[in-house]
Amino acid sequence: MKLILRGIFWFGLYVFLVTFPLVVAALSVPRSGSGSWLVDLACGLGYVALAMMALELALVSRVDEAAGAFGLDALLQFHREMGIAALLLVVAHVVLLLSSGGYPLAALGLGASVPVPIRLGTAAGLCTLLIVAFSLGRRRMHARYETWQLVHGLLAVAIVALAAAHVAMVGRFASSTPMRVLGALYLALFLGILLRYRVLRPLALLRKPWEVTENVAEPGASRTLVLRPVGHPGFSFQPGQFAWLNVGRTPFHLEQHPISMSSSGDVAPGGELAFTIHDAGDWSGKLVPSLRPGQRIWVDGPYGVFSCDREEGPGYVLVGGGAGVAPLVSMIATLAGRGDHRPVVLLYGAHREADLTFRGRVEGLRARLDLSVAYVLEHPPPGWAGESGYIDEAVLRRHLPQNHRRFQYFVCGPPPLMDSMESTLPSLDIPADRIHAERFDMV
Amino acid sequence: MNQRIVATIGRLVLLLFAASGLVFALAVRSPVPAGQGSPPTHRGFGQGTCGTCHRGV
Repeated sequence: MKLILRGIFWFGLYVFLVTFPLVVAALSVPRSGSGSWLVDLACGLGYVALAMMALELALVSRVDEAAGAFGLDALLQFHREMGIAALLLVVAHVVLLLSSGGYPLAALGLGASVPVPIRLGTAAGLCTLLIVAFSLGRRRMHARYETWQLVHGLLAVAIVALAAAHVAMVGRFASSTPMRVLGALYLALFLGILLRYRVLRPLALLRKPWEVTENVAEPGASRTLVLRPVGHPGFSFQPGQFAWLNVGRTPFHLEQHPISMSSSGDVAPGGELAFTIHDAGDWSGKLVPSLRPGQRIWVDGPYGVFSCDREEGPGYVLVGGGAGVAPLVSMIATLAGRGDHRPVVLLYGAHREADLTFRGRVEGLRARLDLSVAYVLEHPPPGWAGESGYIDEAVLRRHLPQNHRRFQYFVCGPPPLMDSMESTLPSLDIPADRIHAERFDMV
Repeated sequence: MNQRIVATIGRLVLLLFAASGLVFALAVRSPVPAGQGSPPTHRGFGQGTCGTCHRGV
């Protein structure tokens, strides 16, 4: 209940911050509008779009309280949805201005004859189009994640700066003193979040370096990095949580990746953490294998609400595939370390037997926990005695315990598995509040 | 959180924000006597912003 209230608070705050400029604008300007209803509507949508874009950074800036209420994967998805929504409102803003008859198409360009305030608005609109198109088409364009991350950040700052200048210079509604004060406050909020995200947080991390102690090749094109805190106690975490890894020379390096811890969450002060990373591109496939023991690394965490520690139940059903099994293995290792007697069922999907990265660890933990495991292979080898195909309703029915409705369910894996489980588990009468999912392809 | 739930919330929020723009446009609009609705009034515009609407001004 407390979590729901926190969620309502943060969601309400977001809606308030986006719509509040409209209230101030409506109250601080004499009831005249522009005389054109369409232009007034265009202005209203423009203000909303600008506030949404300024708050986009807040959604992904790792504010623990907000991330804790929803889960970072949900916040990132919401960030994506709101980015598209802001673009739609910007398009509506332009279409309404053109429809009003007061603004010919030629007056909305970037040419020298176009007034500067309009040029700024056009540039902000084009940058918004670019940022959304590049984010949605990143995989289709085969763009490197690192390149996208850099371009995304630069475009985001450019959009807010250009759009804020556009609004301030056009002057309609924004020329009143309350609106100017509010605009300055929103800009300060944006810069404050940027400062915290890009300067203060990395500065704090600078005092807490980590170093690689082991870099082990695992089955299924994966590697396990074992990290040790240097000169600080490190941290313990709730099993299932993740941290952002940064292998740059300093924590200010822009490239960082969210990786789940695969080791037990109960870490003694100064204890090591393990991260199992699947080869999915340049960073994980080339840079991670090149890391040597003693190498400096920066760890920002822990984050996430996907944890058995947050959900009490008579037992747990863990459903995963690929790299998504890492947080599930962390849960199993933690429960085993605590001597937990509750039953745990693991449904582990993979393409081939050789892709079962965590099989050795899982088998090693079976003796210490009431753990039953079903491996489900898409392409089983000849003579395979386990499940084959995909984790579907039939497989679940064969392996779920009798009182399965009371268990807590954790699902993490590739998108097809996640999509399938989101519809299959409710069809087995499992209450929605007992199904917890985290998408590891969230960025 | 379920991806479909987040997508639905996203669509509802977009509708809410679009509706708030609509309410804003209605709120700032004052009744204009017949025949006097055009050209636009200039109240609410800042100094030196004529070029926003008028070319070469």
